[in-house]
Amino acid sequence: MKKYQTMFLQRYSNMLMQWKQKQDITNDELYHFLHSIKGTASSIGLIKLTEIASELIEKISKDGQRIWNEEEWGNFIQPLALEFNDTTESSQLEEDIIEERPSQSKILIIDDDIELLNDVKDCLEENNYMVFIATTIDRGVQLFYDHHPDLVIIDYFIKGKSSLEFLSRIATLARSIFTPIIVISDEATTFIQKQVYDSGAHDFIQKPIDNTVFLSIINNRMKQQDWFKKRVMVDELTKTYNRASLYEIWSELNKTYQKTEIPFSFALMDLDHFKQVNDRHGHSVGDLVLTNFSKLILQEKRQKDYLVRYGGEEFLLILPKTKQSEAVGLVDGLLKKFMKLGHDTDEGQIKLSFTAGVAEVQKSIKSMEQLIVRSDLALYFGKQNGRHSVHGYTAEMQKSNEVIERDSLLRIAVVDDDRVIQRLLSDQLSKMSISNYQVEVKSFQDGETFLNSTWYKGTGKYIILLDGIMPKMDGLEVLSHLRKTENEKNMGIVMLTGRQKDKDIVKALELGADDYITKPFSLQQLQARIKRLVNRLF
Amino acid sequence: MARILVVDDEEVLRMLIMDTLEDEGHDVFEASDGKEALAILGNESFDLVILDNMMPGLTGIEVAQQMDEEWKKNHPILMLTAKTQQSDIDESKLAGIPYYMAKPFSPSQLALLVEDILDA
Repeated sequence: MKKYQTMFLQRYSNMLMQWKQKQDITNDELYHFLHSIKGTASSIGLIKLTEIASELIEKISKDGQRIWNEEEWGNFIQPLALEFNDTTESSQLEEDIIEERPSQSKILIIDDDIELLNDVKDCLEENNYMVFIATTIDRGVQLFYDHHPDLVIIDYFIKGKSSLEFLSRIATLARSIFTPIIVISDEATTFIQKQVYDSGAHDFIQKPIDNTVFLSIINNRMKQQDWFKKRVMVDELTKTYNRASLYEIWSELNKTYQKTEIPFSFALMDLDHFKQVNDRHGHSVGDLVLTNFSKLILQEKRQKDYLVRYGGEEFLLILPKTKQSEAVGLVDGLLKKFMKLGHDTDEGQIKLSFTAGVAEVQKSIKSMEQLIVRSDLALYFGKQNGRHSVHGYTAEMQKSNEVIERDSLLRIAVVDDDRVIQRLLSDQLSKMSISNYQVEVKSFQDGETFLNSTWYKGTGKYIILLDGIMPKMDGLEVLSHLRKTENEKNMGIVMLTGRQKDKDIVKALELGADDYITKPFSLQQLQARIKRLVNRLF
Repeated sequence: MARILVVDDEEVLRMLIMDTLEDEGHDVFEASDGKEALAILGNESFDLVILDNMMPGLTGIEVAQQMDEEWKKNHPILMLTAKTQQSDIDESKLAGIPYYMAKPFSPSQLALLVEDILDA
């Protein structure tokens, strides 16, 4: 669809340019212009444009002889031109956000007031927040532990019970990872407010909520959160960058790469037999080894290189403006020096080594994760082949490691009894591209057939689109069965519901649906939802 | 697999239709207006012709009127039209067009209808 949309928008902006040059246009030209948009736009997913063109075309006669001057036609088609701009911008914007920003801020909302939930969710999503919703405290707690949101919004009353229970359950963890908590409430007695603040909430807001003010409060809290995170960008023990800073370094370097085409390289380094050091000499020696390692690398690396602590004993050296072959040489030099270094223990000095895998950025690499996967494959190769060595990535490593490939399979199921929807969705969704995933789509006629299949019991990640109303077994029933299966953690479930079925939505969310979308929806909308969900869950 | 001619002056829509039908395994040919369509139809044969009605120059109905009567007896034509008023449908029936689809449509709606037409 994207391809047609781009062509379509391009074509009409060219047309408008031509009109601008000749200034006057005939009634016939204007009529045909609107008629074409009306007939084409919604077929390629630009529904709004069809709507506007239909309204405008009603206002002019087909066979009129009128000549429109630039000001006249300009004013007349203004609503259309505005929508053109919005569409062009947002189609670019959406790509950017969804593809390039895996570190979008996450917000958890816990509320059983579906109208408010909807309203706040829309508003936040429009402002590029990733939103998790829960209608019960239990689900909220689960989402909190699973996804570590950057901010939590919770209603004071949920199902007639106060949410202080939730606050007490998560207050400690929330404090340790600096998660702000905002409580909203119908009532705002001094007693309630005091209770809320005492149990660790940061803000208290009385309903009805003004979205613009609410958004400002949230933005403020998020800024503070960012500030905290930046302050803890450095790993306390090793004084290297921590993982949180990785993405920023990546985007900066990637920007330069796109401009200059001079590649940079990632070297993933893993200390050999580190676990044995810990087991035998204790964690204090383990910590000492880590500090010795990072001290040495920080001292020996080039000024422009970045050292990031990637995992326990895994470090990532980022080498700007350095080809893979050159990086392998540099890291090999570091390895030789490290192997000579002695580490003090109770049983005298010990010497250690590390294994490293190196990969350089290339045109085909679209995300940081892809580059890390490559360096990881090279590292894995080294670990399999005698350790204490540095290897550059080669395409063969990819082939010999198909397990990783299979892991990134994204299976999408369309469970809907409507044949047209089934067809439409499977056609279009299978063409969808999601970074790091290979997409596979299958449709099912009804819930029973779906549940009886073994399809959802395999490996990989699943997105399941469930129609709410189906013969035999409805979507809600299928949903509750799915949430009881073992593979549950690998599934993102989206309910497709009719408009104004708030009760169904609440029920679906209670039963553990991850998202819902009301019919009729556009394919673009659905694709954006799926991408969001994949980013959010997996 | 069928040979299908798509006649539409709107390039983007024409491509969308062609890609959709090609994905279904058909052999698809294109014409960007009525005159071009008639020229192609004079030389080659198709199992189905998909005609947009409102085009500059000849309309889809005019194209159908000028098409070979014998051919029309044995082959279907599908008209794409924004008009769904009974008088327009009657007019197209008279011109020998048995099927029509209202614009805007979704690609899979079209694919399903084409399948049905070819099966009939």
